[in-house]
Amino acid sequence: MNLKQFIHENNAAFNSEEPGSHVFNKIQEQLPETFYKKKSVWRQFRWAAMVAGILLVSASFYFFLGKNKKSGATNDQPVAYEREINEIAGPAYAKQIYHFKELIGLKQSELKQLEKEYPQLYQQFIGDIGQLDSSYQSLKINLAKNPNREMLLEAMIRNLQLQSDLLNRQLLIIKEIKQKSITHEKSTI
Amino acid sequence: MELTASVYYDELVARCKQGDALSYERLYKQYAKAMFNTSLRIVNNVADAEDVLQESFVAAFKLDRFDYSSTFGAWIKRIVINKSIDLLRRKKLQVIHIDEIPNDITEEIIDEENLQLKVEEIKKAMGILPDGYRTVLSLSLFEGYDYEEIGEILNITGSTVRTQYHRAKQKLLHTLQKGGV
Repeated sequence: MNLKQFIHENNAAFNSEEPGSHVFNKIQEQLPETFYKKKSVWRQFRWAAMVAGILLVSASFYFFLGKNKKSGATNDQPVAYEREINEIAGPAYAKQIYHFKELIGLKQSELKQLEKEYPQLYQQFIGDIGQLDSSYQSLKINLAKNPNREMLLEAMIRNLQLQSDLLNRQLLIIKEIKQKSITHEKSTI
Repeated sequence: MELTASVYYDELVARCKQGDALSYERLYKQYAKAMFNTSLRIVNNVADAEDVLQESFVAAFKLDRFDYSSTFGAWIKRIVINKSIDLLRRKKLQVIHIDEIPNDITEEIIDEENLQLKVEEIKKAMGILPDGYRTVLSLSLFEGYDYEEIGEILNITGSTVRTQYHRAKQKLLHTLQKGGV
């Protein structure tokens, strides 16, 4: 076979080497100041990766406990939920959980308002939160039957903190993107 | 300004120009691997190819000079190739005069059609070619430039490129015929 034709037909195999992941970071560092703001946005996505790591730890914790209750209550309305936790773990934990649940609810409805404007980003963000939340639900299902409630409750509260932080950062990202487009519109007028 | 005359309008590039942070990363991801391989074939060293990739994207991301008169892919490729050749020249501390490469093909002419070609063997054989030969072969066989275009990139005539190309290819085929590197 002709050499040129062979190379053409095996293009993917001849282009299989990957550059190191540090290259893009270095590129960002060398870009002008205008890009630095973008860099901070990008860094917040890296934060989401960290959250995914913590999520894994939470999931391991869940599997370690291995008490999979199939018929757990899934209704997480803050007040009803506070009552439920109050019965199981006492008022101190219930108060904290209620606090975070309320915060998360507020932030989620704030995020929901941006769905029309940024549908793709919204779906991505909801997916990230959903992962954390499913881990939380697993912990919650175990709570009623598990003797080591304190550890489980701490893990649940930590999970809610992460959800709240993640939502904060997601809202910040959208705010930054929005600000960018406003600035751009002004500069092009 | 409207871009109505643009033939190579690229939505992703347009979003970068508007300051969309995510689009920069997407643009990088879309082209980085191909551009890294292009550079690697010329500079023949992973760390150098990464340096070239980095410098090229930093230059390319200053998109105010990009006017859609070519595709972003063709534009970044030309930057990567120029920077790869510059790096080779800097490392050798002298200008590579590609037409000064001696004609060391004194053996029989090999017909490529008679060889059993293998990807890994070709990669290795390319790696031991002299810089000039490797550059001409890379630009012609892998990047699809014609002799005139390569001449323009290397500041030599199209006919010199043609001669160098045939010598370089014979050198490569001899290595492959001998059973690789």
